[in-house]
Amino acid sequence: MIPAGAGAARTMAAILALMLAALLSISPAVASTTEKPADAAPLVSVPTGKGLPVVVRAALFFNQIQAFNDNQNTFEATTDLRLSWFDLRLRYPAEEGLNGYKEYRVSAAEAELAKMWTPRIRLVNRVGEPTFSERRLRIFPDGRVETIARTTATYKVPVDLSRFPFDHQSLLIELVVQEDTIETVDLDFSSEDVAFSRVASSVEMDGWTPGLVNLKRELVAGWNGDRYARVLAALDVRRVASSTIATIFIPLFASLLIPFLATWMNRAVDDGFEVEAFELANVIIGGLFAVIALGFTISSAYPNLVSSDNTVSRLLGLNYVALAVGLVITVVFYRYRMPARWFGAHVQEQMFAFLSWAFPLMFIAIGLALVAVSAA
Amino acid sequence: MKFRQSAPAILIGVVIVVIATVSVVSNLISHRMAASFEETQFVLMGQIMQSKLSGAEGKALAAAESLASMPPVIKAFSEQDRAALLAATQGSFKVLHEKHGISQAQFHLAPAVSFLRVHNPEKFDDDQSKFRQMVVEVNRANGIRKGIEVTSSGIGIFGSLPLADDAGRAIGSFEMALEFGPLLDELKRAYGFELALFINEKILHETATSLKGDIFNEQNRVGPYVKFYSTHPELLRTLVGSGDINITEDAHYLREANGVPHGVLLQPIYNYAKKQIGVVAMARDFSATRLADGQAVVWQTLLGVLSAMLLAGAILIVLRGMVTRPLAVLNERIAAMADGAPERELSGAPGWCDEMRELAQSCERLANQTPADKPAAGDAS
Repeated sequence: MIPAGAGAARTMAAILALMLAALLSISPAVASTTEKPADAAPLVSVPTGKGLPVVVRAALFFNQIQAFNDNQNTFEATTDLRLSWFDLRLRYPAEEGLNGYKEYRVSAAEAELAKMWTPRIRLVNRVGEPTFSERRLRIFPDGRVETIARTTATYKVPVDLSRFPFDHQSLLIELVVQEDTIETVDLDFSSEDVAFSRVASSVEMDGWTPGLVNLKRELVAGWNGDRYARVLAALDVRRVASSTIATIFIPLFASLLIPFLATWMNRAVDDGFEVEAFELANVIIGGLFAVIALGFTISSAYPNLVSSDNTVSRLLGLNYVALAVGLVITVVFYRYRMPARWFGAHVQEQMFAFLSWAFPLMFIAIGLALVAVSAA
Repeated sequence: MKFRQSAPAILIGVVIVVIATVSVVSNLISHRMAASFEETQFVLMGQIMQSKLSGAEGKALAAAESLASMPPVIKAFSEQDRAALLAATQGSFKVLHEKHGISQAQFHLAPAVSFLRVHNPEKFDDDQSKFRQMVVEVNRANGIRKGIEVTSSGIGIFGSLPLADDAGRAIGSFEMALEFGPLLDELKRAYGFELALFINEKILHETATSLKGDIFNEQNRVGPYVKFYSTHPELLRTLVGSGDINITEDAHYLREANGVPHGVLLQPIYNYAKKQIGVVAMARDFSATRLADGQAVVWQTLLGVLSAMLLAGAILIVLRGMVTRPLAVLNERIAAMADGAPERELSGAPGWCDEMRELAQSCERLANQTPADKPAAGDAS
């Protein structure tokens, strides 16, 4: 409709583009628009049609979570990783594309992808090779390339149990651009990618509630000041706290009752006690073995719980402290009757009366506080 | 009144009241500290947004000034040669659009008649003076203006300047606009905020006629607004509801999304004519401060409970073990003596405090006195 302008105007436009690029702190490479024709083979060099860096947008959909093992710090999932970028060398007339794009599936996609440039993206925390993997390729008339890779694989993730059993964990997949620095290939995401990145509503995880997927872009430092783009896709999962009550917390609070028996089973009479010290010391020693056995059981079933600072390890510690206090009471009161010697029988009688309710109450209060701290 | 029961009860009551008061006050202090920190975060979030908007206005104006300073542009515009003007500007605009989120570039004739939309050259000659007060103002006052406006293409952050020909005569104005989306994405990337822009549906419907219709769907509708852009649609849907968004000044609140507490700041967005056209929502994960606050409450409460129990124990042991129990034994002995019972050793007496032992000894002496030992009534002096 509108004819092309004068040559001078074009020159000025090019100069202005450079000027504005400098103004907005961008690489002069953006001004470069020279492209190879679409039939030139094979187009495996970095596409500079839109300037450098080539921005690769990433989005990740969690199709299925096969397993999450918070003891081994791994999860297995089937994901759809969508990567899209522009390669203007691949532009074609819109009428050539059925449904507005050209689509290639599985082997056809692999054959097509072998002929063109694709970003080298490494899934850093993937363990071993995927058990299933296939790709689909779409090329749009404007040169936008979109690949979706459906992969079933196992990933290594950090597990933070400090707020167990009210903890959230991030099922993280870490994508890093390999070889090409940030100046050449950038990895990023848009609002559209965030909308794509979610978990399938059909996903169910035993003991966990899946939440939202968050995308985060970071830079990884390389040698000599090199930087590489990284995108983290993390699915937030929340532990179903009630599932741990029967298996972990009831035994822990039940074992806490053992040392209390050492005070509840005895009775102050005149300047002494009804039950002999050794009988109650046996209860304490029995309790010690019970707590050791409980600790061993928990460490076998949940090794991460015992090796880190969390509610369970603190409650186990509280059990040992309660046993120690029970033992001190047995020795000091029942065996040697030290309070009676130092302060008189009436004071000992009152101290014992106080301990018989305060000792259990204090330790149960501390135990509940430890649970409440993790729930806060 | 029984001293054995009432004295410890009074003392323990006082201890509980004092410790409870101290615990509540210290809980309030720590809660206020956390709230004060969060308040600072909200202020900071608001300042960041305002600074970003102001920077974007400056960026749009700088881009517009650079493009408008080209002689071929001035020449083509002064000659009202639309084709030459487009040829002179479309290359630069393409770069700015693709790389820097410049979404609109438009030349106007006074008062606000579109001469050329570089971003949409097919559409021109429409009079925008009804809804583009900024353009009218630029052409009337012959000065630069910056601000947010809703146009037929959507919403943008504009920088607009008057243009004059070589003779210095006013020929119209030129403006450029930045898109909101990339701006919100930048804020997310830099600060970790999640953001959303909500625009008044009525205004958007009436003015942004070139906008795709799919934005006006039920999922995007929040009260009288429609979600124009969001960095995390699913999260923001939970955090900002139709009951929250009717604000006329900055508002903030805390809300949980999927068990994670978020601080949400809502700021009204005004157009150049100072009419509220929308709301921008900024959300940030506040779990660290909420966790610290919650844990402080738990630890302080536990400390209060343990302190109260220990002090109550000390009161009971001292009062009952050293005073009331020996007194009861002594009383029992005196009553027996009064009934003529023989002398016997007092239970637990060796461990009593000195004062109590002396009292016991005096009682024993009194009981052991024969009638001859007792002083006569008249010898009392």
